[in-house]
Amino acid sequence: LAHVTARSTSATASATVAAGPGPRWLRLGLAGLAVVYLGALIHHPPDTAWLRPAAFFTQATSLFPRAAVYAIEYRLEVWACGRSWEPIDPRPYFPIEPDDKESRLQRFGYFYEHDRPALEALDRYLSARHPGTDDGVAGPIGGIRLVKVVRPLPEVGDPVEHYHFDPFAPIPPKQRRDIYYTPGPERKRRCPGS
Amino acid sequence: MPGVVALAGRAGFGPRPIARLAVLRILAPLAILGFLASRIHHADDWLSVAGFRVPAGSDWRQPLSLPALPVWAAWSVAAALIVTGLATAAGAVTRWSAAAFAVLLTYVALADRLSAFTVSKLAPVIALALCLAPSGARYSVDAWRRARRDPSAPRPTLVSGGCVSFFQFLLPVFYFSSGIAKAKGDWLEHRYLLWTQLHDSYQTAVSWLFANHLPPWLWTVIQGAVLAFEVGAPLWFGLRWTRPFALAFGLGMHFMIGLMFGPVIWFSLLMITLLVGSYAPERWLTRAFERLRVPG
Repeated sequence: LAHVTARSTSATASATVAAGPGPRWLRLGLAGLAVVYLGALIHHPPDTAWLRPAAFFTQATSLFPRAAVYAIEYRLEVWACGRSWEPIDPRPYFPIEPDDKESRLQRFGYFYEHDRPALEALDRYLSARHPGTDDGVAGPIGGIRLVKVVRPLPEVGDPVEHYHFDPFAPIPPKQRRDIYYTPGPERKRRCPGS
Repeated sequence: MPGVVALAGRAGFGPRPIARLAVLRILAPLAILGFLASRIHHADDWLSVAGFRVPAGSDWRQPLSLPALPVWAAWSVAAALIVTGLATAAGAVTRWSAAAFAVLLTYVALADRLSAFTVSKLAPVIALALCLAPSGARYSVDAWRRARRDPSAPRPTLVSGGCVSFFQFLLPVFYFSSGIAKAKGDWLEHRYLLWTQLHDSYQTAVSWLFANHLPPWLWTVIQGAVLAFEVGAPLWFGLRWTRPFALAFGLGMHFMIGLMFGPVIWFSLLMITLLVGSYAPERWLTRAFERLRVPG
């Protein structure tokens, strides 16, 4: 940087310099804030209620720190009234980046798989919007089931599968983890007469 | 000692070529908008009451619980993001457009944790830095209009203060922090960590091909090189003689990340923008503006 600066400085006399905002004290203050931000990227602020929004914007650098042990994806099933559990296509409900793990459903599963109130909110959301949504299951539903598919990785050097998101693909029993399901009595209540 | 302080002062606050700032102003908002495009396309699902919302207070990690917007307001935010982002890139009413862009980016990052990624967190800071710097002073609609009003007015070739050095420092600090997180994670213990990342929905045709055909030891070599680059970034970018190699390595690394990890391409493009704007040879940038006949 010093080299770049020295070269630039020698040319300053003959060049016009666009200034930053405001008086010198303001620019120095902004430089101080920049230093604090850069420091916080390395040493994140404490996660207290007041500092949490600021800390959130500095927790950006921890990229792929851990080895993956499984390839994970989340699937949805619904209790079709009078029938049984059937897989649905979650993409009409979560249309942003629908086929990869930046989908809001995949992120939801990752962040909230142990959070009962959040899972119940998902249940309410899907159950309310199912009528009129083309998700692959026709007719009324009594509830939902969120499933985590845990696929072990092959041994290093073995052939690697070409990944393709298929919400209806069969799930091998060993790879299946049921994260949440609408309780039986509630399913019955929502499916009167079936 | 005073000499060292003066040198450090010049390194931090000495004038820089304004072409660097212009490159950052033009390309960074475009990369950010590219990242946001799929969210903006479904703004109602993203920000409004029409989409799924995690209940407030359900997650202690959620930095702020913001209520969902009415559908019309979500579409308005999406439209405003496009307008202010493009205006910032064009350098039109730059300070105001970049300020509005920064505010909107902050809002959307906080509004939906499910859609917040590294780009979401970096973007408001970048937009704010572009707002505070005189980033519309050259190669912009603002500069073009100024020149039309007063053709004899001088056109700045340098920019003062930390306007560019903020970005120049941001990169090595970011890499260093990332490298430390990796070293504290599994990168020093798991020889095939990179290879383990190639099996899920981030997989592309390129990464699938490489996963099947590259010899396993090569993943360990690449992993080691990435870790050494990131942990040593302050040194590689700080020293004059290693800087070109650091730039080349960083560009190559992000190019490969973009090719091999599908949706991460926008993060890669943003980092490539920061690398080029901050560290590419000045004459390349100036020549690019001349060749493209960018007005102002």
